[in-house]
Amino acid sequence: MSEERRLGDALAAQEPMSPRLREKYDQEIKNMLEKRLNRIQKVMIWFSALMAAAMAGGFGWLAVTVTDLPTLARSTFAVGAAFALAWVGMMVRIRRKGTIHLIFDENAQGGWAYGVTLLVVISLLLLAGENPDATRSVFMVVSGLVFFLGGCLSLLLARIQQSEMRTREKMLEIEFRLAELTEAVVRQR
Amino acid sequence: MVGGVGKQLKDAQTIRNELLVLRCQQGESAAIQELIDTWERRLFYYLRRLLENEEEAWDALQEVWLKVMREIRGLRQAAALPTWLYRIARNTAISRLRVSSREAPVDEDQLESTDGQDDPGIQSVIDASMLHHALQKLSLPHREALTLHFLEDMKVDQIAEVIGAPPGTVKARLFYAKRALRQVLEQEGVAYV
Repeated sequence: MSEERRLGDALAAQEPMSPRLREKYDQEIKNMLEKRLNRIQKVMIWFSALMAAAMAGGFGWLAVTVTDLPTLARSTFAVGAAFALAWVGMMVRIRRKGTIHLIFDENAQGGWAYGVTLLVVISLLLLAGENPDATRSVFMVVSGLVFFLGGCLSLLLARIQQSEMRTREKMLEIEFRLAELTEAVVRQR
Repeated sequence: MVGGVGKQLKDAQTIRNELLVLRCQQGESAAIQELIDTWERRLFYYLRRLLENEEEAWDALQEVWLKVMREIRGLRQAAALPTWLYRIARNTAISRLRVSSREAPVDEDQLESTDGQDDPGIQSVIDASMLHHALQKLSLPHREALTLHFLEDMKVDQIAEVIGAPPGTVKARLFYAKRALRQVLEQEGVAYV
């Protein structure tokens, strides 16, 4: 450790800390990832849950009562209803907790959005094959492919970025060991 | 040869900072905790030099970590972690002080008058406790500049980046801050090099 760093550490250690305030701060840091919902967020969550519940009801009703539809279409509605119910479950859980976990809940919502996109893509592609109207089939395939290609591109870019970060991390670890060795040798001299 | 290689390679602390930033950017929660554990003491010291009471400093520090978590993915130059952290801390403290964050107009006479003058000569201070005590007696701008200088061994351009002022202003400020510190230390009867 350099002299300057030692002075910095010694200087920082001069500041007294109240144990009561320190404890309060530690608790806040522990809870930091969990953000308390404000009034607007609570209203939005209830609104979102109600909309999803209505969609679940609508899709479920279509899946069960409209027997004229092909099996595939009804299955798609049923899966859509399940996704909508999953969203309702997420919103209710967050609302009851009163907080939103900045990483976990956001990842869960991201995963839900990804699943819905996948559902739409697969549904469009499969249903396009069953549609007797050629024009509509083509439109459905094109729409499905747009979503599919967009999703693939996002995934590819995310993978490339992650791979670059991992490579950079490995290189930095090697640089770090070299720097430590160099400093040790210089100190010995 | 080894000394030459040592100059070309980044120092271990800079690389450690870069690794930490990279791990935080990948969402590793242990890395975020390590970042907090590594920097909280120094950032708290800096915030206490800017804010009037301890409770405010703790609240400000918590705000700092919230901002850090939100913005760390956007940090492009991982090696600039220290200046980035202190800039966030400063902006947080300033918003609490409710004063303009714009720097006071530069006193051109002051800038010119530092040319050709020797550094006041605070090359090393005998101990951290005397330095800590002396810092309390300085004005806020002087206290801030010297805290960054001694706490993190920041150079003029780094301090300029933290406080958002031109390097010339920071150079003059450091000059007068060291002079004021020297005067305080002399009054306290402290020997210095």
